Amino acid sequence: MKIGQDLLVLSFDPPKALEDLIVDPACPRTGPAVLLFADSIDLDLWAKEPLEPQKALWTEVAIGYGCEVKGEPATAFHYPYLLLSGAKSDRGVAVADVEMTRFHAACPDYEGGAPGRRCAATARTIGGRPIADLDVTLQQPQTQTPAGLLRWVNRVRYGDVTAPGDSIDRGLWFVPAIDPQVADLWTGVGSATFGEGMGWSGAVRGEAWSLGVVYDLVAGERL
Amino acid sequence: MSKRACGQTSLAAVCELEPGRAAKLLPAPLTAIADRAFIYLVWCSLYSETSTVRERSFFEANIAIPCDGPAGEGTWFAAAYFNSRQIVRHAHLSGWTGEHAHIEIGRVPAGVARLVWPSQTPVGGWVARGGRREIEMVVRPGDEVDLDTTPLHKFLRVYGVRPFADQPDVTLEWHNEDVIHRIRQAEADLTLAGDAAALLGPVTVSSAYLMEFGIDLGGSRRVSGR
Repeated sequence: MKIGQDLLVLSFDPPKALEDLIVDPACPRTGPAVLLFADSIDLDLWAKEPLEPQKALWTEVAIGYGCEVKGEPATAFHYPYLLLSGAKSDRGVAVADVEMTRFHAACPDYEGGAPGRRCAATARTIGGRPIADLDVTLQQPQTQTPAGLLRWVNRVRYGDVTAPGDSIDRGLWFVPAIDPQVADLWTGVGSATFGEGMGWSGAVRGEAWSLGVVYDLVAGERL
Repeated sequence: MSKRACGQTSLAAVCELEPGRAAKLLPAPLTAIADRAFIYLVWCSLYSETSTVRERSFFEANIAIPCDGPAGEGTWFAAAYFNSRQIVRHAHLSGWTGEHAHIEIGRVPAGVARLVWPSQTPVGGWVARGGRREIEMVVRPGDEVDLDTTPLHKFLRVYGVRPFADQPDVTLEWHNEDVIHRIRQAEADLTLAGDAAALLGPVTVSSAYLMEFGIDLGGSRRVSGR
C-alpha cells in the first residue's frame, strides 16, 4: 500500500501528566513527545477509485513519543491516543475532526516553504471538544528526516485499521515506512495547546518539522 | 500579503447543449454566444495566515454559461455549489445562484504534490445535495495546453446579475492577478442527475481539462445598472 502524507510535527518535553497519558509502559520513552498532524492519501486506492476521493483522503492527529526498536530510534503511538479522522479511520468511524493548513502551489502569493512561513493545524473531537491546536513557524530547509520519525510502534496492526472485519490485535507492532521519499523538508519552532478532548489541558513549545513523504506500508511486525 | 489570494485545482468539462438551451438559462442583459456550459469542480486553498485553519480550504462547483455581457465575453454561473454556507451568501451577493452542497474532489496533500503530481492517474469528484449525487466527473489528464486555445479562455471573467426590484445591476468579478499555473487537456466521464440534469437537458462533453491556477481576488465591479 502506497501512502502519501503531508506532515506537521512538534517534538517537545512532555509535562508529567501528559507523559503519564501517552506512554505505554511496555514501550519505554527514550525521546521527546511528538504531536503529529498528517494530511494523507492512499495512493493505491485513489488510482483504483478516482471518483471516490473521500475514501482515499484522510487527515490524522497522533501524539506519541520517542522510543527504540531493534536498537534504533522510533516513535511510539499508544493506541488510545492515535486519533484519526476520515473514511479510513478506526474501522470507518472518525474519532476526530482534523484540519491542516497548506497553501496551493498555484496561489500568486505563495512560494512554498520559506523562513517565517507559518502553518497550523487543529483537531477537535467529533463532539467539538478541542484536542490540540498546533502553530508552526518554518525556519530553514533540511535534508535529513529526524531519526525515528518514520518508524512507528503501535498498539494495533495497520491492517486492523484498514481491513474492517479483522479482529484487532492489541499487541505491540513495529510499522516502518518502507522506502520513504521526502520532499519540502523544513525545521522550525512551534507551540501546541491541548484541550479537554485530549484528556490533558495545557500548552507546550518545541522544535517543529514540516515535510511531505510517500512510502509503502505493510501490516508490520509483532514485537 | 493579500488576504484573498487563492490557489485552485479544477476539473472542468465543456458541455454542448441542445439548440436554444443557453439563451433560456441566462438572465438579461446577458446573451448566449453558444449552446454550451462549463462544469467545474474546484478545490480551493486560501492563502491567508490570519484566517482560521478551517476557513482556508473549501470546495466549489459551478455550472457556467459562456455569454456576452456589458463588458464583453464572460461567463455566468447558472448554478454554484459550495461546502460553506458563508460562501453561498457571497454567491448571492455576487449575482449567482449559490447552493450548499456536499462536494468531494480528488487532490493531493500539498507536501506530497512534488512527489506525485501532476497526476498520472484519473482525478474525480462529485456534488451531492440532499444525499443524492447530481454531478459526477472523472478526468484522465493528458498533455498541457494553452488556455487561449480552449473554449475556457474567458472562464475567469464571471458576470453576476443582481435582480434588485427597481435597480437591477450587472457585476463582473475582477482579480488583481491571475496565474494560470498549468492546464492539461483531459478525457472526461460526466454523469448528471437531479436538478443539474434538469437545468442543462441533454449534454455532450466536447472537451475537458484539469486546471491549476491562482487568483489574487479583487472583488466584483458593477458594469451596468443603477
